[in-house]
Amino acid sequence: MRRLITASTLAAAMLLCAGTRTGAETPLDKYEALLQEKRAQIRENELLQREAEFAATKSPYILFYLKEGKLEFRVRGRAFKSYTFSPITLDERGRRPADPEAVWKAIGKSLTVIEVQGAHPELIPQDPNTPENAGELYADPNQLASQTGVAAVRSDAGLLGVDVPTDYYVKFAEDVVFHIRTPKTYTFREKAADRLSDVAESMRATLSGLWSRKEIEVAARPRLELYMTTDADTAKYLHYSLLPGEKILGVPPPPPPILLVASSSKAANASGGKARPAAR
Amino acid sequence: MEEPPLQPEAPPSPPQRAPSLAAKVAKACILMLLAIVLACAGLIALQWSRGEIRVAGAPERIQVPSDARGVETALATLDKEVKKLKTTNQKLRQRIRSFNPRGLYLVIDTGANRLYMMKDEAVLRDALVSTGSGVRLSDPDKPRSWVFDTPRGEFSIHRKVNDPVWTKPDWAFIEAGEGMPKMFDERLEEGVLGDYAMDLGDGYLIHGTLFERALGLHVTHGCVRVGAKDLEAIFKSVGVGTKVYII
Repeated sequence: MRRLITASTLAAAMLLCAGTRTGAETPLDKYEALLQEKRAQIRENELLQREAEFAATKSPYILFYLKEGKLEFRVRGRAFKSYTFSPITLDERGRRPADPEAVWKAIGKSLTVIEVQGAHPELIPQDPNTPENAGELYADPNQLASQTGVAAVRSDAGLLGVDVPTDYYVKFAEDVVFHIRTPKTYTFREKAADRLSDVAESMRATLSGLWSRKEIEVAARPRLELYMTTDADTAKYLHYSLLPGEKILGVPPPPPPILLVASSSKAANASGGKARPAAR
Repeated sequence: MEEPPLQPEAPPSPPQRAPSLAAKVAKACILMLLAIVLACAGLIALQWSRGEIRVAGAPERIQVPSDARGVETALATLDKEVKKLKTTNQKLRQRIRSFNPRGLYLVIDTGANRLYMMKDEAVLRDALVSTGSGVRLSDPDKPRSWVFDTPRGEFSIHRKVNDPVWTKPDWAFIEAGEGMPKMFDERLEEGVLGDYAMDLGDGYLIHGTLFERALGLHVTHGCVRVGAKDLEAIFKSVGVGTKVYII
């Protein structure tokens, strides 16, 4: 009899172990999965609430899919066009990929376009008394100049249009800047110089606080700068598509992984058995 | 006289060789290297403590009850919360969908210069168009300026016009370097807007053009120019009130 009990206990233990090994869901696994689901739903809820506000108006808005690197243009809740960027980095040379989670947090509720580099160049009216205008009708000498910023265009824009830059910045009211870039190959020398300047800057930033409390004053930099690479056509299309006042909403990436830490039962009971609410 | 006992001779000490220059340099190098490594470690630790170096994707620590009963209770609460959130989000998605364009409508892509005639989600016609040049024109005599952008957002067709006549606004005269006309009739110009025009309000039109080879370019003063064939097809399909989405 005693041998039978021992054997059955052993079998039950083996079954339990086998169950755990084969991935049967324990309450803690379920808890973790549900918690992640809740965090994802909370993020989606925030986005949907904001989008519902925008969709109720006649204005267009843009969704920025941070994980996919996609800008999607919407009006009334329907997506009409999208532009994809790869890679999206925090530096010009593309060495520091932008973490979607960190970028999403930095973007906040929404971004408002205030300036697109090279947009709205001044058109110089034609002077019928000056014969040179006739020659400039089909050979706009300032089309490239307009790529470097707002330059005067002495031509009939009604016939020729104005070329736009493929590498430019988009400034937002929230102290955020997107640098739109076309793919480039950097030389070894450029890469080395870049690394050296990074190291120097880092050292300066670190050492500045050692001898005095006053940090060395550096030029004010935007809160977030993203370098977004795409092909030349897409860069131009985006340039024409963005107008000051347009809004961008960040689409949250999936929430980061969590680590469950056991708390004392007293504390758990005191909090009503609820886990600490996850931020965003 | 007795000779003093001989002192035992001390064993000859090994010859003291002065450390070579190479050894000294090597020693100094090792010390310097050690100092550099320590300094770097210190700097990294300092930056880490300041929060300038962060580990991306580090898991967030969440407290859970340690006993089985507590976990079960928390699980039940969490399950309810998730269900509630899912329902709320579903309602929000439905609300957003309720704003979606339906029926026949036009979509104008100002980036690629294309016009789509749509029915629900199907594209009925895809046309090459010209949209705003985006240039700025200032009046040399008065403090006023114009930006030739095609406006964005939701619009609707206010009226449909056959054989439209263009009433030239002030900027058209300034751009051409001409003086302002004194008579209204001097502002009227026939034939430049094509056979049809659809009025979107605020002076913006969808109309034809004499310059069909400029279709696909950003050349207009804010209006949307369409080729003759596409214009006719679109004009005959849409009615007053048809929605136009410009993005």
